[in-house]
Amino acid sequence: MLITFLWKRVLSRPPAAEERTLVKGLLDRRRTEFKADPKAAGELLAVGIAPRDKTLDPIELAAWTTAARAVLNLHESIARY
Amino acid sequence: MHDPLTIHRRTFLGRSGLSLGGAALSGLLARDGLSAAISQVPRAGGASDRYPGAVYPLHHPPKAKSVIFLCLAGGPSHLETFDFKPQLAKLDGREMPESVTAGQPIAQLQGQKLICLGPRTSFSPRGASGTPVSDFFPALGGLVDNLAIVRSMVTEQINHDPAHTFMNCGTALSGRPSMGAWVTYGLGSEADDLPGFVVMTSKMGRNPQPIAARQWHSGFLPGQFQGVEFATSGAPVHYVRNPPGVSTAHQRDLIDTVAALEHHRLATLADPEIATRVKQYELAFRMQASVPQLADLSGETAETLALYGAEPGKATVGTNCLMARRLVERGVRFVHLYHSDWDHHGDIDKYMKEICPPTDRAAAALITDLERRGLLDETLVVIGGEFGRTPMGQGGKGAIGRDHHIKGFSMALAGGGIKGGIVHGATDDFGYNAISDVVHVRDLHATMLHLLGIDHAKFTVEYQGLDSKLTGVEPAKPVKALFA
Amino acid sequence: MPSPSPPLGRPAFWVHSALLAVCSLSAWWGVEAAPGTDKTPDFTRDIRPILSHNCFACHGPDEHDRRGGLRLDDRDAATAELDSGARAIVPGRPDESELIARIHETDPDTVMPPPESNHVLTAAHKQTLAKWIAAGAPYSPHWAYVPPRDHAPPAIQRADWPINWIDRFVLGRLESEGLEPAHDADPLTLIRRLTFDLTGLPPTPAEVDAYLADTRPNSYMLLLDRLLASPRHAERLAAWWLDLVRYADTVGYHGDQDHSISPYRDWVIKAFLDNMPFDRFTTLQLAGDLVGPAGNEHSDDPVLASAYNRLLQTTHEGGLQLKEYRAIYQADRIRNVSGVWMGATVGCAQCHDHKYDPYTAKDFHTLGSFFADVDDEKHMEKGGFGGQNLNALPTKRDPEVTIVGPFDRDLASELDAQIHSLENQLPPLVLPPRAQPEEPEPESVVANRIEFDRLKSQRKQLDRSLMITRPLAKPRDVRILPRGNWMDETGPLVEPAVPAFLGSIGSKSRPSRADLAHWLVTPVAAGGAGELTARVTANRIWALFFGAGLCRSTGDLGGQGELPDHPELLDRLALEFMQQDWDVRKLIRTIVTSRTYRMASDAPADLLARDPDNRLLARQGRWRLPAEGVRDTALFAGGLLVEQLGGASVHPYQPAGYYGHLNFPQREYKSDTDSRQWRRGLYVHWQRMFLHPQLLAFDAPAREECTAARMRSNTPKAALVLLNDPTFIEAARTC
Repeated sequence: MLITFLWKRVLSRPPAAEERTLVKGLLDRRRTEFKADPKAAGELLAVGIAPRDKTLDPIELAAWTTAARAVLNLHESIARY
Repeated sequence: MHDPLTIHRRTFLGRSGLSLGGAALSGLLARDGLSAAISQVPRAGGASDRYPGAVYPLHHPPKAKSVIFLCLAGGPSHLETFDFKPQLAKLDGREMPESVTAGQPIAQLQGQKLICLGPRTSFSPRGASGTPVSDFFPALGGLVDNLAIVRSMVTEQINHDPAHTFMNCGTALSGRPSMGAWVTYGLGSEADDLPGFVVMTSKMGRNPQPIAARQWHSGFLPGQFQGVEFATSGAPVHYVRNPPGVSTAHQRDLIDTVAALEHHRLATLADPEIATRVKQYELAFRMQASVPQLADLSGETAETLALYGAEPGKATVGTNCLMARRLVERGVRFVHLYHSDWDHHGDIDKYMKEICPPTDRAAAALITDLERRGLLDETLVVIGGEFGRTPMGQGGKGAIGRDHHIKGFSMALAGGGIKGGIVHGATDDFGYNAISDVVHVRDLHATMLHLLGIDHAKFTVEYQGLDSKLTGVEPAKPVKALFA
Repeated sequence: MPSPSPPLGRPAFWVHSALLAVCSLSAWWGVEAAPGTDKTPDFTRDIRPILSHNCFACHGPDEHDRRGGLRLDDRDAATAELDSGARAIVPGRPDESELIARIHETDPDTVMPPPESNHVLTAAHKQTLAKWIAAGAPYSPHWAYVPPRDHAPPAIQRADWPINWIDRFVLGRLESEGLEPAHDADPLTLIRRLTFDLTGLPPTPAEVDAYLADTRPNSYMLLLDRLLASPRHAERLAAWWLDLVRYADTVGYHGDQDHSISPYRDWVIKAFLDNMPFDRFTTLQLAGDLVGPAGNEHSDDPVLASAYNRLLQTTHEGGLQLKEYRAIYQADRIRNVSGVWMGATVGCAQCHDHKYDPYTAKDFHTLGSFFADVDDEKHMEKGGFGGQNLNALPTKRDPEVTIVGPFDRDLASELDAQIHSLENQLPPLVLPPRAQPEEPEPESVVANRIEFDRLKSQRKQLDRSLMITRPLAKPRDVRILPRGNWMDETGPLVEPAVPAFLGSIGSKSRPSRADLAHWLVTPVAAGGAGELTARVTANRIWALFFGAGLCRSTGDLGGQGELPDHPELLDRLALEFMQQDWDVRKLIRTIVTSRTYRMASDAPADLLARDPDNRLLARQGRWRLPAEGVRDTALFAGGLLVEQLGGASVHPYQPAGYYGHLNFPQREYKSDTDSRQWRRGLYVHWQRMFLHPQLLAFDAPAREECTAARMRSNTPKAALVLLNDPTFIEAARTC
């Protein structure tokens, strides 16, 4: 659900199955990392002056931040076809 | 199928035959996949996919592989460094003959009485050649048999900003590539995970002249040839550090995931720009590791640090000269160091006493260190500013100094194919006009390119319909007398 | 104020010679005449490029550097008897033509081009030249100086393919090449493309869903009309224009101090939002101060617009020489006005007659002379040491005014009205005599005073400084500077005039900037150069939607520029643009309505091999977004983008110490700590010497010069920005 949302928001299209799998993998690995090191999650979420939604779990939010970084770094996100 | 790799590299930008305007050049680069070509052309006989340079093969065997240009920004006085003028000492306090200065461009002394100012320090003969070098530069003086001193430099711009642009780009017009960009475009880089053209700056505490990023711009050449600024404190390169909370393993995972996503996309959409981007991400990641390693001076011995006067973490001329050696050691093609605060309109005595010792030490250390590591033969070292200073004093309210001067000033060269222990050219008795073997900035450029294996006249890129050259449209020639 | 509509004078030579050129114009496209075929070489397509590239540097329009008295860009001169007694070209007789003999010469002392030029003619070149001389050596004027003609679209087979006339030209060409147009882009690609192209931003997921679900036959037209009317579209076009006119927030030389110019940027946005006709857009920028407001224009509009004349780089570096910088400023303006409106590199004629185009050094100086009334030298007095507050941020660049930006006017009048009404209610504030206890004012009065102060302060924030164009009563003298040397004052004085070969302005008195603007947008038949201006501009607007112009060298349509790939289509676009009252939006609407625009951008291998540059337009283009689009897209995705029209420039996060080299004064960059942090890239503080590294990494220009086409690089630096720049991290965590 959220992956689809992310894809549509940045790329205007839903993800393909393989893309979904790849991002899920990234999310899982980063969740594990941030669980082990919540301080790192806090640091990542402190970048910029935009307020952070404190109702959300910081581990989840940090993992999703990484997923969003992946999409924002795709050529497709800054290319016009 | 159309394969960008088949475009012959020599004609890659200035493709032969019909005209390609400047916009066409950018159009060419913008075209699908072609900006990729520049990073994908394979090396002759090598496995690396590094860009090998537009001049291939070289026009003649090179003497130097890389260049370190130590710019003493602000305009150091030739009269207190490399150009000994005993006659000027005798004229101290007398009016400058109008015949010398009439009709000449003048900067801050406009409309003022022009009074001769003798050398403000002593000179001693140095080395086997006995060349006099000022006592402000004892260490460099000690290496005089390694140096070719040019005493007959001339330039065309009398204010700092345009004079730097002229020294770097061969013209004061905006939008032209700097020499580092030209050289990197022509020769590529030997460094796999560092930029080919690196700029570092240091300054003394006074009030130095500003320096514009234009000085290391790529102009009408592609952006990848732009100089990359390395800082000695903070992040060495912009955005080279991972974001807070992101470990290297994390960043690696992210880049791998991006690459996997890009490959998935490539399978359905044959857009070569995507493949290029994957490569650029890989290179970016390697830079994230290699740049901090490079900037870490902990592996240098105490003796080396002391030799340069380097202070890890501090942007001093000593640290930067040491970094320059580390950069060329790793295959970086062009290192441009700016050491600011040579603009001594007033109190030249005091400020020379402050700035000369660390500069002298660092520059001499650089030459010594390169030599003992066997790098000096392949590294051209150039030391000098954007112009010199007037034989006339500049008074004003405070202690005396000198104004900007463009009709005759000095530079020192060493290493990479340069004949040591010689003096080339001369100024008149005042140190005003270069009168013999005049070396224009263009000639300096031609000389540098020649040593790198490039014939300046053949090294052109079509821009606005002209075969643009670093040396411009006026005649230029390599100064053969400087060659070993 | 006087409105300039002088009787325009002498028509240009090219009006007479236009007919001459017509036959050759229609013949270019198609492959180059292959050597060995019997096809007669065409001067424009086959001959001029060879001569221009290899010969004109010494045998071209520049009489100072001309060798052997030979001039090859002019038929009379090229066929005349030379001092040596020979004739370079004997029409019909290649064997008697010295040109042919010399290019076949083997002696390095006599062969042409000489070895030191590094130019080499191929056997094919030589054969083509010989064939052309055998055919009588016909010349035709350079295409860009021949006014566009109204070409009928070619006959086509697939009559059901075109949506509008653009498609007929494109399809005709494709069919003649034996190619098929690409299939239509899928609706998702199309809405994303159109939204990016028109607004610089992606569509929202809701917009995409709505469009995909829209079954109305005119859904695409509804979409594009919605986008064309949006303020975002005006911002996108403004970013394009600001590159051309080299808009930046700093002076560019030496201390690179901030200068006061951002209200001009807002006027440009407003002009595109109002779809101001391009002719008026031109006149107001070049000469708003002279022509004043028209119709329902606000009285400030001409002031804002004519700040165009102050966009150049300036300096007050100590020790500057006034006359040197007067010459530099003039040259800067000449390069820009000729680059923006004429697609020409007149700047090359600063030191000598142009090597490739008929611009003379005199033309350079007469063109510069139009701007000799721009009052802008106060900051250079006393060698740069004369002015007050010059090393402040912003610096002073007199003359300046305090002005309200075009998007703040309503709020400003509202506040003024409130302030005025409160002022009338408040009792006069009388300072009590010393030592006498103050009588407290009634509470309501105190509240009103507080409110009054609040309103005053809010109103004051809307006031912005702006460098303006104020004409000097007596324009500065302009002399021809021999070889561009400002120290040589022996050259003759000149008056303003347009380049001589393009005609003249028939005004009795000294022509003004208003006359220059008028000439640029007046049809050729009425003595102007309007169609040429229209062609330069239409070509660039086309490039916004296809990634490249119909003539690829959008910055230079001169002799060393490229030939257009679709000359007839370009002509027709130019004429439509001018004849439809210079309606920019209408032109864009026509372009994006075409089926050509709606094609897929996929490039199958065989097509890529056949036409790697996509010159034939068998498909759409694909490219990376401009630097501002990269930023805006991330902010948009992160839900951070703050959309507000106009205002002072903004300061995104930037690496510490990036401005460390700047001095006079030294400065520390302070990134914005409020919602200005998330405004569009268009509004980012444009520091010429140290452009924001994100913009730089994605090829935004420093705006020192007119930029008609940006590069599109793909570098590790750009990757590091997307990976590590806080703006992109912040957008990711709010995504």
